Amino acid sequence: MKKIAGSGYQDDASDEALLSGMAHGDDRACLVFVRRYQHRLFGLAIGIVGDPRLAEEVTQEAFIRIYRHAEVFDPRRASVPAWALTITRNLAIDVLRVRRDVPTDPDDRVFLTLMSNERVPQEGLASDAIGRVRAALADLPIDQRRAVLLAAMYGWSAGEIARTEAIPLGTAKGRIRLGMAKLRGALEVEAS
Amino acid sequence: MSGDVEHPAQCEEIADELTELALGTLSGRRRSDVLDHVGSCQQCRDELEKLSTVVESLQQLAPEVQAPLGFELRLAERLQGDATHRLRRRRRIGVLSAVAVLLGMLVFGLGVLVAAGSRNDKRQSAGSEAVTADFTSQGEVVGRLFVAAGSPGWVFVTIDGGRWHGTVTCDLTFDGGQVETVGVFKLAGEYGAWAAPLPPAAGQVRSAQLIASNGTVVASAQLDA
Repeated sequence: MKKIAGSGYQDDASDEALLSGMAHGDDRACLVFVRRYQHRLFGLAIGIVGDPRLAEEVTQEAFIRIYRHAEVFDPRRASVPAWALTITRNLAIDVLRVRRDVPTDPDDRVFLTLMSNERVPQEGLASDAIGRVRAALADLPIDQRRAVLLAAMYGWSAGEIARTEAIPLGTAKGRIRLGMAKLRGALEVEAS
Repeated sequence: MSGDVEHPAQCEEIADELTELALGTLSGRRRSDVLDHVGSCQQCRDELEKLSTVVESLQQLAPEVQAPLGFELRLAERLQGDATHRLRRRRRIGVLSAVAVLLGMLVFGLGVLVAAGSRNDKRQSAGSEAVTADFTSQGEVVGRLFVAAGSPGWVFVTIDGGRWHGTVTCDLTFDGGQVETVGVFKLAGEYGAWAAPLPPAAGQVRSAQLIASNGTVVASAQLDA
């Protein structure tokens, strides 16, 4: 654990060390963690909910939950960014579900960017694995790509996708399953 | 896992739902069914883990966006409030636990004394019980009153989340109608716990009032006759 005696955690302390510090009420650890992740969490939140004020509310609530549960984070189950982003995504989806009964078609920049099949290198990707998923996503047929994104990023169920896309439920399920299977396969092949 | 049982047909049957489980979009009975199957099938557990990794990777594709100006400050205020709340809860639990232990010890001690004395004096055994009542304020329960009769008798008060601060006076009304002040206590934040001996030969306690320094009755408790 990287610590400066008497002055708290350094900016390059590991995520796990920061969570440990947060669990013990270390303000400096909390500040470093917030500065490290606020733009990523806010980016995901605004991509899902669209409205900046709502996205800030979601992001702040996500940080509060991370702070509250820092002591029970289990690094064997997920990486810190995956954990933090999952919390943010779930909160954002909850907000969307409260705000509307019927999902509307996402038209935000995140969705349109990810729907694009251009294999443009994306800055700030967290790891090679993320880059591989991005490339594999671009290779999916557009209907599968759309179904996977609606489910993974926006929390749409197969039923919601079927209704919105005016396709049979079985077709929606199939698109999600096939798309996800190809992405999983791409990760496995590249990793082996 | 030694208890795992392979059900290839069932694995194929739940393949769609397994993907939806990883995506977090499966709910209700089907979610429960799939979780049951995953719990007994190593193959599907492995598949679920791989699919979950894909979902986590997809979430990380969202680009960073500059958080609004003042985000950190607003978050710091909320985190500070959350930390204070958690600290208060810990203090409250600690204080109330200590009071509960104290009460238990005293009531146990009184019981032993009275039981011993009851061999010679039946009247004391009638006073060996502890009676309790809720403190209420504007219709809400804000604390608890314990009265352990005996010689001497004791009164215990716990306040949990009242909406007032500062010093309060605790007045007791006895079955003869007389009112006695048993103590002046200070709330630590919205919480407090105190104990005080009952006045000798004062009779049975019927009610208690907590009175603020401006004379307002902020909470009261009524014991059954």
